Amino acid sequence: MTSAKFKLTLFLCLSTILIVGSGCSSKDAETSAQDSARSASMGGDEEFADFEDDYVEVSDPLEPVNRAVFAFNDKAYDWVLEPIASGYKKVTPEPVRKGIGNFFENLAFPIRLVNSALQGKFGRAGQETGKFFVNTTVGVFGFIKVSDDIDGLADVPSEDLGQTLGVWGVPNGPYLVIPILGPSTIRDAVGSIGDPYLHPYAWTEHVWDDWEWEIEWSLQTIELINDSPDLIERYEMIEEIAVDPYISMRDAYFQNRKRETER
Amino acid sequence: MHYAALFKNLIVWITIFAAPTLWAATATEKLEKAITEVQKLTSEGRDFTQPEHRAMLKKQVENFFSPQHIARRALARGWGQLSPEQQTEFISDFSELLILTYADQLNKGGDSKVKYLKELPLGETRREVHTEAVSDTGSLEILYRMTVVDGEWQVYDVIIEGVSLVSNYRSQFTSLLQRKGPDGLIESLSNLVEKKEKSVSVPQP
Repeated sequence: MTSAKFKLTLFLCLSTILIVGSGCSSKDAETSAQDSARSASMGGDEEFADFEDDYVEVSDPLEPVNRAVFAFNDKAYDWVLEPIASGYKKVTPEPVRKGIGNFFENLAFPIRLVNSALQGKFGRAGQETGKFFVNTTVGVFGFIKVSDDIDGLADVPSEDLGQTLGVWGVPNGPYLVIPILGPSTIRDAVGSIGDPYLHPYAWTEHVWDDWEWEIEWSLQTIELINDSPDLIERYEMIEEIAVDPYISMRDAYFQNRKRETER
Repeated sequence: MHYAALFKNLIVWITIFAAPTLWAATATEKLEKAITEVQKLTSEGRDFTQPEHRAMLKKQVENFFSPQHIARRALARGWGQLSPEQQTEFISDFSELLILTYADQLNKGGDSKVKYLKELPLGETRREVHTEAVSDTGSLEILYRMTVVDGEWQVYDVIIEGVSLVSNYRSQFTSLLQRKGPDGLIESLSNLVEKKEKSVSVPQP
């Protein structure tokens, strides 16, 4: 209960920052530097005309703080998450790990359904519903993602509240590196605080008397550990080939979210 | 007689009008052929922790990647801030980094099947080839942007799950140039290549 109240407070605070801050934060030094880089590269060189395609606006007024959190996260991943991930991977056969991942993904179905609908993507909401029923029944509580083999239900882009806000025209706002969780923006942080209210965990306590927050935390921990090998692999892949891992990660986050919001 | 003249005419017209279309048909083909060659190296049991096997990989990769082109695009307007010597060094270090990254992925990645999905035009001489790399653990959407260099289709950008490799490096290089200047940029890059070379040369468990 207290945790829910805390989340709500945080949600409201961040929303306020987003609304108040979006006006003034969109034009900081870095953005205008990029603007001039862009116009310079587009002006003269016809050869590079398609730079426009992958231009992504980045706002990072909190860079010094973000870099500090980034360095902290890097150590936390190296010292804590990586050993857990590689240990877990050793003792868990890949199909089992995939099955557990599928189960948690299926469970979060209401988030994707509601956000598809909020974005007016009713066809996608229908696909999500179809996926949920097939995977929950034929796929045994979601452990087997049978929908992947069904035309029209495979590769449905996943929707969340951050994307919904984006579709509604809310700007990203400043870039944020959140302790442990990593890259985000103010908009996406608001989204990831709002989304859990749609998750089955949030309403199980009303229908199941014995539901305790300990059960929710245990389930979330299992999900995190189960995902950790993939998270670490993706993190290392970017980090190892970057001249400046902080900038590389930031750019990758903005590019990837832009694509997800557009899909 | 009459037919022979017609035929000759036809050949000329086809050559004139069909040339761009012939390219269009071959961006995907060129890519598929080149990737198959690389996969052949892996299936022959080449081990890219070995420098001499990496040299073979480099030779294959240079058939369809243009290091100069990618390097220039990655630096964009920063290109002019480098002296000619620095430009040469930048190209060689950057292409070395790309080869090492590719080698590392091949060493770690195991088998992944590539599905060639579609080819979209991006202006007259550019194409975007959509592929999907499928492995045991899942699938990745990879787009190859290609352009014609010296009459051949060459890759100038790779976009993995919506993240463009070239613009990702561009954001890093722009920031490094601003903070440390051309010398700092070249130094950071060559340090990274050195570090990467060591880690790639470690035999896989």
